Amino acid sequence: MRLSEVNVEEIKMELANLKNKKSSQLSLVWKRFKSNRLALLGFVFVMIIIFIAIFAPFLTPYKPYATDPSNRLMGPSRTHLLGTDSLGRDVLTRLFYGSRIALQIGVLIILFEGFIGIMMGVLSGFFGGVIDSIIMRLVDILRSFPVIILAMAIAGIMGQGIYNVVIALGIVGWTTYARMVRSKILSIKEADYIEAGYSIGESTYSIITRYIVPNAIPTAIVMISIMMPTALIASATLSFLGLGVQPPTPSWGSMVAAGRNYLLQAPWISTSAGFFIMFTVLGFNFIGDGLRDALDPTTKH
Amino acid sequence: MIKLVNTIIETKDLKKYFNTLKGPCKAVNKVNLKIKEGETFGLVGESGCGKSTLVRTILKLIEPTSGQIFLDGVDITDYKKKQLMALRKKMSLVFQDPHSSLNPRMTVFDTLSRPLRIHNLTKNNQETMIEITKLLKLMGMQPEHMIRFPHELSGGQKQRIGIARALAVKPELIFLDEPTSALDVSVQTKILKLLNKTKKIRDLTYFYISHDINLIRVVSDRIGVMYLGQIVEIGKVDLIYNNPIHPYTKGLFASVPEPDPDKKIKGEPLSGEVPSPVNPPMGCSFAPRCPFVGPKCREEKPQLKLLSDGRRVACHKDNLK
Amino acid sequence: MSKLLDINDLKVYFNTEEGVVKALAGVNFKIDKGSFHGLIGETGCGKSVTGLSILKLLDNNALIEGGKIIYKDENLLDKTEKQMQRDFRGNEIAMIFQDPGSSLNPVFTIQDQIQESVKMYKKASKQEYRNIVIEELKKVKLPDVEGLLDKYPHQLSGGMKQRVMIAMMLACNPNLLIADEPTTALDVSIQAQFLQVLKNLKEKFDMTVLYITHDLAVVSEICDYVSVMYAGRIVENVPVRELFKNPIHPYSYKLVHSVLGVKTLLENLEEIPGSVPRLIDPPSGCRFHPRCEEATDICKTKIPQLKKIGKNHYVACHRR
Repeated sequence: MRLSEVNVEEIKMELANLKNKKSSQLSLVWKRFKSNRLALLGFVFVMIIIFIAIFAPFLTPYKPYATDPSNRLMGPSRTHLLGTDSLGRDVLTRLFYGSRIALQIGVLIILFEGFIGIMMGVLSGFFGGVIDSIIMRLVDILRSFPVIILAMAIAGIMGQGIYNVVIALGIVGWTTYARMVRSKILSIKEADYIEAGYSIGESTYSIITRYIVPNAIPTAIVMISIMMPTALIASATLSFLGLGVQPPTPSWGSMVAAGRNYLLQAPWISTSAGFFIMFTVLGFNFIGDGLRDALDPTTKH
Repeated sequence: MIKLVNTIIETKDLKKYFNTLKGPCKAVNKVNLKIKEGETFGLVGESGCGKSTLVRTILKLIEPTSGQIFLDGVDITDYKKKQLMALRKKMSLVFQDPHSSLNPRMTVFDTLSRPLRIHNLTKNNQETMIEITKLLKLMGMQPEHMIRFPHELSGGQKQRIGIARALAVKPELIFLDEPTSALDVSVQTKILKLLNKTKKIRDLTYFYISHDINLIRVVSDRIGVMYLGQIVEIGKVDLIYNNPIHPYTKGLFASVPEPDPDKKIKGEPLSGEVPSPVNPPMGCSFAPRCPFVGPKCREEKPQLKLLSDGRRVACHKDNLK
Repeated sequence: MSKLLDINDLKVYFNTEEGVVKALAGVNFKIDKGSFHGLIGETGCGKSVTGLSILKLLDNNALIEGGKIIYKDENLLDKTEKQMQRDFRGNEIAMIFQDPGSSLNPVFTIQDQIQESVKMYKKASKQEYRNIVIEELKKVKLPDVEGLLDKYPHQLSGGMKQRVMIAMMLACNPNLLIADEPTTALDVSIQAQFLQVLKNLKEKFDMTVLYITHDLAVVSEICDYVSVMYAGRIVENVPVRELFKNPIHPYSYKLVHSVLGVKTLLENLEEIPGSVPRLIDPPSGCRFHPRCEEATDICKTKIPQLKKIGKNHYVACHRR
């Protein structure tokens, strides 16, 4: 076949098409995501929480730490939309600032657990053998730790606060994600296209970067979107138990706990904090489901 | 001018054993094979006979346990890393399942450009595009297919890309692992004809493996019959097809359902189960199922013997006819 | 010959995210008592859906848009789920599937599983059950039947599992057995043994079988009558020998001539241009018209009906 038989103009056009194709893949995913009503709803929920977190100071005239004991345990009114807590602080304000705590913890946990989890999962899944055995045994050992006790120990040694919550949850938490990543990599390795890559001369590095990682990314993305709700619930639980972030820092979990003693007189404290937790977690869950469906075009009925 | 036919592949006592809890799995158990340049060789056998493992061992995708492999007369048995790259250019593989042999995250362009880039067959983007366009046209596809992802292609199209990828490195020899078994009958014909045409255009040697006896018959010049890690019969396709000699070959051919109601091969189909290659029987591995089994069969492994018509058969039976 | 099963203009659609898949658009064929009836077609033509429709085992998103499935003078499509389960599935019509591995329950022994089938239709003592199970296993020519009773599915090979499946179905004494690609996952030699077992059953017990497959050679081996299916419709109903000697429908012709038989040269193999259509938006009129060299205007607009062109030979084509 001679060069003249191949249309050079056609080729230039195809090169341009290729560049468009890659970006259109992304917009295709977005389109699929958008068409999923629940996913959109989740997206809206999360956007609302993020908005509240960023603009909290502008959304409320009160300060989260400003106490006003003479107005303690007041019910919802025009001045305090969700009433006040046992120290007279405006509940709604604390909930709003609480979103900052929640999101901060969430992001930190994702970074911590995600980084370790993905790294361990990749090493374990790709290399197998002894490395896999060691890492998986480590996972087994860590998972048999009672997390609450560990959190108590860490709180006891290092005190309370956001970073200690992240450490306490993260030390054991990465194991779930390492397993997910490992299992995805194992199934990718089974596919013929990996062997095909070797057969045309790809190097191990190339196989990992061009063949394995791109196919593991959707799993990683979905994984991250479920890490957030899990982290939120876990840290709220710790706060509730008195271990994680404690008052006066406005964490939703500790607000639920604090409101426990006043359930009959001032039920709005615990319930509104609980509602915020649920709202945020639901939002991320819907996004996670939506992402999973949008990213995998090949799941046929 | 006399054209000397080169031996492109030769294996000597090639073995590949896998360690399992129950003992060694003798997937490839002393295989001696010579493939001639320019021929189409068909290796036929049922599942577990070792044909896939044999091909991957010759390609050095798996390390042999013992024995030797020669490519164009050169001993490649111990080739590593850099030397292996040269092999990847000379021999390639077409996979069975088109739905899993293409990277779902790579476009057709990506898939086909990789072999070109790895082996420096093109210098820049434009040359790559030209080469890929040529490959696509050879496969009967359009340049616009370049931007497609595998899930946007049909089974037949995916397989064509698999073939194009194997061709991209400009090999001398292509191994084809059941290239049409995952495709519909109507697509199968097209792919087989395409492969045939391509072989002539690019002057290639083909090594097919399949469990489909009729397919092997239609495409091959010479065939080999494999059972439990060993070649039991090898020779020109028509010779063996019209007159199978090894008891396994006879039984296997008799088991094949024949479409034409008037052309039924009558013979005894095989009895018993396909055995596991883990801890195969002593002596001839077919002895437990062989209708002609004799005392020598259970003690001594038969070697491939040259018969008067040019074929080789591994069997102790006297008067092999 | 009395008709055991009469499928009349069966239409089945599926509701999917991408739209309505018109999987079956008028399936017509009749199965004689004692006949081995082949249903042949390529992937996606709807043959499995047809089999599942008979037993009403379709997914929830299936819509039965029309037609009748007459079994022994009763329309199965009118039956409720309960009636199907109680009166038809198992004891009248049984089905075996492609993958024997996933059809057998891994935590029950062979004895227990077959016994379960028998229990539904017969009350007997433990010893009697055991004898019945042994009888059924012997019918499918399994070696060492006694030893098999206490084994679990994972201890058996694919071929043996498939035979156990048949034994289990036979234990219910059905009148019609539907086999959906039962040998696709088996090796050639095992397939040969399996077909031998079926032939044996046909001779001894006068079984009626609907054999669904894409493999023409297998159809030739054991079927006496065959329906050729394309894109949700039957294009030809014909005795097996006739199909190979004289295929009339253009698709049947190409199909028969593209099969690798004992004496075929690559050059002589037929090709069918184009590809199988997507059934969400199928071609109008005759669904084969986009790939048919003889297509004319009427083929694009009017759906061809099956018409008689020979003894027991029906073709749906405007050009024949």
